[in-house]
Amino acid sequence: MIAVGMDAPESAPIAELSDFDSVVRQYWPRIFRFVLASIRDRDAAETLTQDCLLRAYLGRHRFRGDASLNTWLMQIAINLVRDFGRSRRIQFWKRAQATAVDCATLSNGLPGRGVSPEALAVVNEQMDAVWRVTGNLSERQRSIFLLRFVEDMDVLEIANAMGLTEGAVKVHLFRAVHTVRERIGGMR
Amino acid sequence: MKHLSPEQISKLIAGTDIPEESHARECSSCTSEVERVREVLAMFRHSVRDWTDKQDHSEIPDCEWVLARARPSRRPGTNSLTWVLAAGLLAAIVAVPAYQNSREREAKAQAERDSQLIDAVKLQLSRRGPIAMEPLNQLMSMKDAGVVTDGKRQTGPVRNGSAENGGVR
Repeated sequence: MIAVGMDAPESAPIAELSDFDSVVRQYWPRIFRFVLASIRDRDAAETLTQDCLLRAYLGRHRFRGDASLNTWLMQIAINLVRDFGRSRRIQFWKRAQATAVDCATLSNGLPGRGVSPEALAVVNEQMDAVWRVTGNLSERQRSIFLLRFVEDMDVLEIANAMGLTEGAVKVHLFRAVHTVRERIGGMR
Repeated sequence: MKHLSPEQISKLIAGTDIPEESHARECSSCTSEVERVREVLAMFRHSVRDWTDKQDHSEIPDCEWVLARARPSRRPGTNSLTWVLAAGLLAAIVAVPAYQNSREREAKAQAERDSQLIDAVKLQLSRRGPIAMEPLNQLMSMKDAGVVTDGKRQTGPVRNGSAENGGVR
């Protein structure tokens, strides 16, 4: 486990955290992306990302480098997303529904060169389906799914960030993937 | 040939080892299904990243901007709440003395009314007879005082008998 929030004796932050400006510049987009994909509310995502980096700054003396800085920051972000979901469960889902991204928006960034309109329509439909399915996953499954397939983190990193065993992460990941596959199964 | 079940394919994609992994490598049908799902997930990654990049309109902030969050700031609701409390306090400061003054005035007026009523009651009780006999009583009083006696001025004291007879002869 990582030493976030533990009462470890304070010491000088490791070199990676000594220049916090560069930490903010490097990790802001990544944390914002994960938080936004999780809660799907731009303003709240911006606030939570700011909170995440503030907590990291205030707790930088407790970071011992047992895991990567990315994993440590993601752990803070995951906790914030979880707390946000718990404190505003009803508003959260209402807002998630209200600000749901339609398939056109989500698939605007897809490479369309050499793809027929029919194939592109299928892809759009698939993206819409995956987006909606991930929105309906449990909070833990959604976080694991996004960390694995959007953030490209491996199972061990996810386990460290989530405070779970690798086996538990694989089980959650399997369930999430299986749910997504069931939804997109007939779309070919 | 027995193909992989949907659960086994999901496990493969999730990174879980399965005993039939060699089949997945050799069977073109199962391989294509695994690849198809991986491709969908790769496109999902691409589209989510693209979407979130478009949502992030802010410039990449620096440490100072992050630390600004730690500084005490007025929340939008706090300001109006302060004004409401201040207005309430001001209203209380003005209203309480005014209310107390009006209570005092009312109590004073009530006391005066009570006093007048008591005087009226006392006056009523002090009468020696009914109101209809008031002129007669006055006459008797004047007689008792020696002011008038049958049209003559009386100098001496009036006998008790005349008073006992009510002054009527």
